[in-house]
Amino acid sequence: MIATPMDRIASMLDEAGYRRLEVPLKIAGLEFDLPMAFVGGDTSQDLVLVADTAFEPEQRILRKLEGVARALDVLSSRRPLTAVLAGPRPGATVLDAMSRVCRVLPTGTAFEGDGEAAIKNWLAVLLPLHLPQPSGEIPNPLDEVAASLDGFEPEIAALVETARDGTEAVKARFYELVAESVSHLDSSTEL
Amino acid sequence: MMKRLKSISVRDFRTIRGEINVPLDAPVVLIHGQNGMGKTSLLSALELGLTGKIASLRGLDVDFASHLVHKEAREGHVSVSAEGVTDGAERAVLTISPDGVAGDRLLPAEAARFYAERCYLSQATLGRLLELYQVKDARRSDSPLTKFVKDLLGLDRLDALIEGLHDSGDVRRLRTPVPTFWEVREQIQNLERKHLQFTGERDHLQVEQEGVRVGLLPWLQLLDIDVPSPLEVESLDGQLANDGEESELQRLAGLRRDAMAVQNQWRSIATDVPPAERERAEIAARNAGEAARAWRAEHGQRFELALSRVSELLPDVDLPSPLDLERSRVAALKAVQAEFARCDSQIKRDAEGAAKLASMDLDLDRARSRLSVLEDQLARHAATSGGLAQALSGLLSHVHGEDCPVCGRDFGEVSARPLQAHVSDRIAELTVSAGRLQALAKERSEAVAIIATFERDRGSVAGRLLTQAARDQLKMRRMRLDELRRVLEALAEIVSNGERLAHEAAGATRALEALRARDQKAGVLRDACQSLTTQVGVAPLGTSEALEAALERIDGQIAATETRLTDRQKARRASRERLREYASLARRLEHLGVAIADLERRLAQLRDGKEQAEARILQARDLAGRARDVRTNIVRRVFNESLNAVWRDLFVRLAPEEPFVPAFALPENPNGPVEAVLETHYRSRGKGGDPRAMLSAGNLNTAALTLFLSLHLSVASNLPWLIIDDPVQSMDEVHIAQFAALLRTLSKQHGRQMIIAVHERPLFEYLALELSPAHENDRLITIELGKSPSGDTIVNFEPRIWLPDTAIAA
Repeated sequence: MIATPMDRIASMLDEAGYRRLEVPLKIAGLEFDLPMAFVGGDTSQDLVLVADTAFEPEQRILRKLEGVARALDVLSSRRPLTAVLAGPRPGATVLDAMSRVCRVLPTGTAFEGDGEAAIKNWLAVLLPLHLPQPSGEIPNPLDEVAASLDGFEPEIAALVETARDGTEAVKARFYELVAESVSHLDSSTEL
Repeated sequence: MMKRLKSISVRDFRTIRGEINVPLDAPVVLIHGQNGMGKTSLLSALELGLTGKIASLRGLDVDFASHLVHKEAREGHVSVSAEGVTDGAERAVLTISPDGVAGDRLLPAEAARFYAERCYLSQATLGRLLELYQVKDARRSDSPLTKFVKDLLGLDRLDALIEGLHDSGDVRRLRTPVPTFWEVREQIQNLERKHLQFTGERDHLQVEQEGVRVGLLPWLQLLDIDVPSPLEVESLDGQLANDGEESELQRLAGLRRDAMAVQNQWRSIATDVPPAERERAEIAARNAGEAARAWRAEHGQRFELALSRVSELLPDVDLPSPLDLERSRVAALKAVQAEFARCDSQIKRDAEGAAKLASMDLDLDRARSRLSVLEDQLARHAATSGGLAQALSGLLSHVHGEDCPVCGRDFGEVSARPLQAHVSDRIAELTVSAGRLQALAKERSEAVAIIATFERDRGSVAGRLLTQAARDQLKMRRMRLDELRRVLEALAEIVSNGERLAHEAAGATRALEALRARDQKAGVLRDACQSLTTQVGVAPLGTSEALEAALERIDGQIAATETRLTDRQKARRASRERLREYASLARRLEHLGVAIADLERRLAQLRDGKEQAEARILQARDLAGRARDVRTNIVRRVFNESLNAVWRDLFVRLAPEEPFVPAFALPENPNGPVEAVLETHYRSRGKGGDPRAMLSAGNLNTAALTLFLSLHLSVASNLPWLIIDDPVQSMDEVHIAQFAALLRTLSKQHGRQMIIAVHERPLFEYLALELSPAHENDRLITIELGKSPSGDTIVNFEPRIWLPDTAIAA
């Protein structure tokens, strides 16, 4: 079923829960002839328009986009507008003009490598963000060390707290503890 | 319950003047304000209220705490409320004065830390994140990245613990810092050596002592002393000190001397006196005695009479005993002769004196008659003729003519001779007379002196002359002495005879006496010998037994007893010597025992101390080990693939065109020091280079931003809040659009409450649009910070709720 980049884009958006609108798109009684149009699902209000610069001149696509944007404005719609462009990337002037009225995602032509990955990168911003399993609580290193000190002498275990004051403090306290163990002893050499 | 920030009130805090109340109870809060209107102040007030500190400011200004209150106010207030974060109060009220901050923060410690590190992206934190890329060598352990990572993870404290305990890894490292511990170790070695030496010495002494004890036994047996099993030195010494031998030996020596004396005397006697000899001696003695008595009867009286007369005449002369006949006779004779000679010479001297006196009287008479002649002549001369002559010669100069200067009469009347010649003649006459007078006077004085001498000599001669009576007596005496001399001279032969006889009688008597004494001595000696036998303890002297045999027996017995006693003495001495040696060894052993006990006590103490110290060192080592393990775990846990995956995902969303994505180089050696290193990955896998080289400035910013978000997202969402202060300062429009979409995803999809401050108006509008409420429960609050003409901070806030979109039928 995926014969063109458009198909690929459509399938990705479908997958992401976007709802395809009928084309030509009708807004405020006006009709806009666009290859595809989507709106976001529950959490997104996005209106996503898809066009292919290979089939349609970029100037015309621009005019259509501007038209949609104006129509939405007239209706005080708060839907964000996004244009996904398949096919060759438009010229800079056109792209700039487009950017002024909507978010533009020029997926470009996949000349090399994984075409699907390139499109996905461009579309990513529209797609849900899948977070990996979060890595648990944010670690508190000293607490983790302190938690593993069952059976330690309290004085030694307390060095964990001393660590908050820096290396030298730990060193000094450690020396002190060692010295303390032998300090009461008579280490004179006389008999 | 949802953890959500509800509101914040701020008064006179930093650039905020007056009081503002800002509602925060919405999934998204957008804050807009020109620079200086108090955006950052508001967010730091929020941080202060939540965490009690402003970590984001501390990095910028050490002295920040004193500038927290608005410059025109004396104290500031911050009040923050939230829900779902604590069990108790959901509001924190803090008062800030230049002296410090009063009041409790809202969040518990752990959450506060999380907020400061992973929720609030302040300008300062963003700056630090950007710094990560500025340093050339990111592989240094003190690179900003490493420091950031360590701060973030709290590893600096862990490192402090590990580094601080480094010396526990090897006791030799403690030599300098803990000299006492090292001294104790060395002291233990010293004491152990000493202990070994002492015990060796003790064993040696014990063997020696046993040797002495065994050596002592035969001697004690010889002395018939019972040996107690452990030697009791004092009682034994007492027993040994009781020396009966010495006095016995002395007694024996006395006896031996006695026996010797007896023997010697016996030898001098040699034999008993034969009776015939004794009789001869008695007869000789009797005859000699008779002859002596006969002499005394015949001549003795005469001689004694002569002697008595000598004594009478010369009472001063000491005569030998009259018994010593010849000597007394000679002595008497000598004395008589001497006295006779003295008397004789005295008489002769007297006669000479008388003759001399007579001639002296004659001479004296002649001298006296000459003197009287001289006296007569002297009388004839005027005594004053000399003086007159002198006076006249003085007068001569006054004679001028014939007139007498004395009487004034004319001399011519008397004589024809001139007066002057007359006077001169007179002077000459007078002068001759004076010379004669002088000579006569001298002559007379000499004569007087001669007479005086004669008279003196005569006096002395006359004084020496004897009186007649004395002269007669002397003559009588001389006659008697003469007689006596003759008698004594005549007695010479008789006396010598008498003396011979007396000698012979005495000799005979002496010989007889000697014989008698010898007889008596033999008896005495036998008695002495008898007494010796009883004293020595041998059979008594038999009547027929020869004295020599008995003495020999006595000698033998004495010698035998002496030998026995000497042996005992020797044994006693040897025993005492050994006993002393034994006692000295015992004392040394005792001292050694005390020293060893002391050593052992101290060793035990030192070992205890050392063990305790070593236990502590071991525990410290263990502790360091655990700290390392924890570090390893944390590093593994945090810098894992999931962090990189999130980062990559976020980065790609913002910079879809960038072929390289940043990543943490995963630590290869988790035990080594933490070195956080950034690298880039080519998107289609494969490593790229250092991010600085690979990424544009804008993408570095993006990398920093996404790193923060990744760190926030890679752990469980303790606090589902993201507060971001002006994050997009160097982003281009494309990136901004992407970033807005990302924020929306985090808010709508991942439920993060967001507070975002921006200073650009268009961006604010754009974000307000992008982050509009997307569903019924969604909400957006926009806040505009500004200043009133009087300078007070004012807040315009507008809550926006979800409105169904009418443009596109949903």
